[in-house]
Amino acid sequence: MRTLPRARALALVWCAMVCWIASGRPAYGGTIAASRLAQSLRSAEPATAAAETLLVEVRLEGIGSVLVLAESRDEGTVLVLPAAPIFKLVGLREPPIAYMTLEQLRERLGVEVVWQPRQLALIVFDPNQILPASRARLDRLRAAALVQSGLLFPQGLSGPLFGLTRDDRGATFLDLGYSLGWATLRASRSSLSGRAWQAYVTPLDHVQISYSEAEHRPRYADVRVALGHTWAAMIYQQPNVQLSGATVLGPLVVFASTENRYVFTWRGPQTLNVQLGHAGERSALGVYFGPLAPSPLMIPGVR
Amino acid sequence: MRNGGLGLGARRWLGSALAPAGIALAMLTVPAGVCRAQVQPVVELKDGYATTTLWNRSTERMRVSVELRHGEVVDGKVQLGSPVDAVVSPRVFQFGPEETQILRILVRERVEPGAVFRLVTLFEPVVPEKPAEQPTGVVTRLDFATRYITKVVAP
Repeated sequence: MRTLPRARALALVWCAMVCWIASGRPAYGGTIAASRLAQSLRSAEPATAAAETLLVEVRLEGIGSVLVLAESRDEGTVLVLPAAPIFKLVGLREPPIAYMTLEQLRERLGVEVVWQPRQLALIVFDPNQILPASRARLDRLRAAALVQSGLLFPQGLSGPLFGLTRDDRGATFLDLGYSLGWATLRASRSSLSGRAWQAYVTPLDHVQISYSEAEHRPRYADVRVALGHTWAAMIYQQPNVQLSGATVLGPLVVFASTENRYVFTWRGPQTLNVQLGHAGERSALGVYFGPLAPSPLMIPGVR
Repeated sequence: MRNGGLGLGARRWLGSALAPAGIALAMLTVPAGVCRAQVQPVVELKDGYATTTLWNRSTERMRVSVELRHGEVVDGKVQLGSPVDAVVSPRVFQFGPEETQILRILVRERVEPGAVFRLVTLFEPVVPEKPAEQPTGVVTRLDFATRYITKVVAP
């Protein structure tokens, strides 16, 4: 009987072992394929290590948090999370898949996501305001700031006020008034510009009304309102009335004014912003990228 | 020859009597020094949900297992009952010296106002696979598991 050479026999044995290993299932419970995780926590094939249900608090810094039932697999190396409540928290629409691993979530959101197992917390950091919920919060803050921009006295502070100023020319300015917190009345007398008085009223948290009269100047009044993602102002300066407002429609922010001024701001993925604006007889288109987003209330233009 | 001291027999007798007493004393005192895990004595449920913190104040890595059970006090002793239908997260984990772990509890069954559950927390030191080398080649080790039974109350 003819005997095979030793090298050929070893090669045959090697190939047989490779085929045998390749045809069988791996003996270890490695990371489960992403497509399988995407189906369901229950439908996914169990790993060799027992999976554990975890109550995880998902926090978006500065926005809020949500408690979800997650699953820890493969001795804590794989974390599977329900996508819908997390997407809702960050302001995104329905997720494409029901469950995501931590890595998939990081890729999908495009921001820093930190898993703290000792705290059972998943923290989403969005310093560049990429996520819709972060942008919405910024809009609310901006609207609130605009409403209170004319308010000289913070709400909650009350009492009389007095001020006297004299310069080296001998000119004087006397300021008197009283604030109730939600309303302020003040009168002033200047040796240069004459007498004036103003009243500020904040009947509701997001509504402010002011009125002022002064010698040698037209009467002035304004009403500013902020409701959610919408801000509006009516300014009367004798004899003109100007209306302006801004609102957020998903990724689009619209600002318009009766003085033939408007701006459309589209907030794209990552930190891309595109603005189309018009003021007077001039129109402009601006494309911006970076962490410093342009104000949606400023008309783009070449200065 | 008597020199006024203890004889050899008396010394042996004294040694044989003191050695077990010393071991017993060490067994009584050592657990307090070894297992210094901390749990909150009372945890309050709000809408079936509660969080608490566990501390490992010992110098060893600890394996912890947690379960929530029904229980009652009979003759001044706590008798544990059936497990509560709840998510206890995490149920089993390990943590090192000076580490803390947040524990979240979500009770799925109906909770009556004033209900008291028992949180059973078992702390066991993680035994290293290879003990420290000794010149004699003989190593003796006493491992103490500590179980705390604390209250989870629904106001």
